[in-house]
Amino acid sequence: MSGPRSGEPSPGPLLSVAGLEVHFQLPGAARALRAVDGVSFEIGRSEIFGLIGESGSGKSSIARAVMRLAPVSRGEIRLGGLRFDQLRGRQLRHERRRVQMIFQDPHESLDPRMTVRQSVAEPLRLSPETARHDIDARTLELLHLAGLDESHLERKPHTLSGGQKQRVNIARALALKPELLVCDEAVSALDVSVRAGIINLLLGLQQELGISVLFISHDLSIVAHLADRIGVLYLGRLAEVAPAESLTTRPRHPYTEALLAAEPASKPASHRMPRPPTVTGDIPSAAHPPSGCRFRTRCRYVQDRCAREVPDLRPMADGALVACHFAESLELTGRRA
Amino acid sequence: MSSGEAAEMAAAFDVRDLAVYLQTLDGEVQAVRDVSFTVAAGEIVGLVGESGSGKSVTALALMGLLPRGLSRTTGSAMLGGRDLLALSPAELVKARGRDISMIFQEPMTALDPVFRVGDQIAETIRAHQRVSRAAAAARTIQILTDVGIPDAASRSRAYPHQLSGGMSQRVMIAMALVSEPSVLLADEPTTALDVTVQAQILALLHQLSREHGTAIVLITHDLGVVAETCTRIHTMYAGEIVEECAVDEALIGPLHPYTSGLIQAIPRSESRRQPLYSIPGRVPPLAAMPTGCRFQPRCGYATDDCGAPQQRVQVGDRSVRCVRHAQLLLPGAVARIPQ
Repeated sequence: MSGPRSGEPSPGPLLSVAGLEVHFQLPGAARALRAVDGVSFEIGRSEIFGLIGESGSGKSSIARAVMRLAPVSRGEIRLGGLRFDQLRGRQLRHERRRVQMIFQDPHESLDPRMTVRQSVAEPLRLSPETARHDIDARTLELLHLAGLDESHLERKPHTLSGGQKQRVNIARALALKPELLVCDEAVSALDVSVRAGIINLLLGLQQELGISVLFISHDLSIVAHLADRIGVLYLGRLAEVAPAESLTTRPRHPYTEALLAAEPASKPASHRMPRPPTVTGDIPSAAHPPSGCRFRTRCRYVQDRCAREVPDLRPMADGALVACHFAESLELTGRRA
Repeated sequence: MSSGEAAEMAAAFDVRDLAVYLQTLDGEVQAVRDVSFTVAAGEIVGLVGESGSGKSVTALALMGLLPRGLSRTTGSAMLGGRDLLALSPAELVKARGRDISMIFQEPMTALDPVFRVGDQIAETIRAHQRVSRAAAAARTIQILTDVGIPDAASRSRAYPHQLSGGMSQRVMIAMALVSEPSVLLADEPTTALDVTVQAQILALLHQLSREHGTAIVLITHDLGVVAETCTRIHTMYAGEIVEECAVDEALIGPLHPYTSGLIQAIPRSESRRQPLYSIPGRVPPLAAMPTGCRFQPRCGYATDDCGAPQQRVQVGDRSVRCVRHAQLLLPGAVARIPQ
C-alpha cells in the first residue's frame, strides 16, 4: 500500500484530524495532563488553516502530533485518506516527506557548519527521487522559490539575517515537494519588517504551488491576514472554527471575542472601536482544567449550566463551528479596527 | 489634550543628547547617538524600534546598568533638578527604585527564585525607607493589591515559580513602583505574555501612571501596543530617534520613511491576504554605520541628498530626521486625503 503522491490527489480534505488527544504523564501526577483533549478539524488542498491559541492551549502539541513528533494518545490523523498516525518504519519514512515543518527559531533549526547550499541540498541527496546531476539546479530553484538567490549559496547561517535564515528553512522544507507545511510560530521571532516578507512568501507559495498550510500562532492579526479558515484553541479544545473573515468580524464564542478585544490595534483612536471589557484573570493550568466549559472561569457571559455541561463543538446555520451553549443568543463584538 | 492639561504636565524627565558607546572586540562603537526626549508626569511615551535599534541600550544607560569600563554614556537625564547620568555610584544605588525604576520582558528571570516574592518587595522597601519589618510587610500587601493581585496576603508568600507569567509581571511592577519613583522604564513588559494578559497589564500601567503621576517610557517593537497605550511615539532606528510626534499623527501621516515602513508591515483587516510592505535589507552593524542617513540603504525614497548626516528637524511640535520629509507624502495606517 502506498499513499497518494502530490501528482494524484485523492478527493476530500488533505489533512483530517479527528478526536485528537495528546496526553503527557507528569512525574508524580495521578492523572495524565491532556494537552490536547478531543480536537477535530480538516485542512483542504491549497488551504491555509490558522490555529490560534495562548499558552497551554495545546497548539504546539497538535503541530507535533501531525508531524508524528508527539504521541497520539487517542483519535486519528489522516493524510489524504491514509491513517498517518498509524504508519511505522519504512512506510512512515516514505510518507513523512509529504508534511514538513517550519519552527519558531530560524537559527536553531539550521546546522551552523553547513552552507545554505548544503542545507537545502541535503534532503535532495537523501531522496532516491532526485537524480545526482539535478541536485544543483533543484537547489537553486528552491532558493528562488523562497526569495533567495545564487549569492546565498555558499553562505553560512551566521552571516544571514533572521528573515534570510527562515527563508533557507522554507527552501529546505519545500525540497521534497510536501503537500502540507506546518508552521509553528514561524514568524514570531522575526522583526516586524522582516516578518511581512515571510508572510508574503507563504501566501505566494499557496498560490503558486497549491500547498496547504497549518499556520499556528498566538498572534490573531497575522493569522487573520493569512488564513482561509481559523480554529481558536483554549486549554486543549477548539472553541470555534470559522472562515477568517466571519470569525474576526462576527465571533460566536466569548473567548474569540476576548482575543479580538485584547488585540492591540495599530490604528489612530478615531479609527478604533472602543474596547469591550477584556477578560480578567489568567489561563487556568491545563493540568486542572475547569469542569464543563473550560473558558467559564474567565467568561463574562457565564451561566450555571457552563460549569455542569461540556459544550460540544456544533455547527451554526452558516456552517461555523462553535463550542458554547449560548452561541445562538449572544451578540458578540468583532475586530475593533 | 486641553491647554489646562498641557500646563499641568510639566516635564518630569528630560533626556538630552544621550549617546552610548560600547567597547567591543573591534574597538569602541557608538550604539546610541543624539537621543533626546521628555516625559511629563502621568504621561506614557513609546520608544519603538526593531532589534538593533538601541532602545534597550538607551534604557539600561538611563538606569546606569551598563557595565562600567565597557561602556561610556554622555548627555544628561534631568529628573527633579538632578542629572541621573552625573550621579556617583552610591547616589545611583539610592536613585534606582526611588527616582527611576525599570521592568523587563522576562519577569521570571528578574525575580530571585529562592525568595518569596513578598520578601523581595519588602527588601526593596527597607532599602529606601526606615520602616519596621511589619510595616514593610503591610506595605507589600498593599502594593500587591494595588497592582491587581487577588488574595495578596497569601500570594506574597509564594515563590516566583508558583506564579503565572502575568502574576510575575504584576509582582515586578509592584516592586518597581513600591517606592513611588517618578519615572518607570518598561522594556517590552508584555512581549512574553499572552494577549489577554497583555491587555490587563497595559491597562494597569495606564491606571498607575494616572493615579500616581508616574512618567512611563514604554519600550516596545509593537506599534499596536503604543497606539493603545501612549500619547507620544519616538521611533528609533540604528541608535537614533528618527521621528517623534503624537501617536495618532504618526499613524495617520508619518514623516519618516522608516516609521511608514513599520506601519505598512503590519497586517490590517481591510487588506487581508494582500502582500504586506516589507523593508528590504537589515539594520547595519554598529561598526559599519553609513555616514549619511542610517536608513538610506533600505529606503525606497533615498536620493543623493541622503548621503549627508541627517539632522533632527523640528516640524511644529513634531521632529523628524529626514532631509526629504517635506517632499514626501508617506502612507500611514489609514487612507488620507492629500492636502
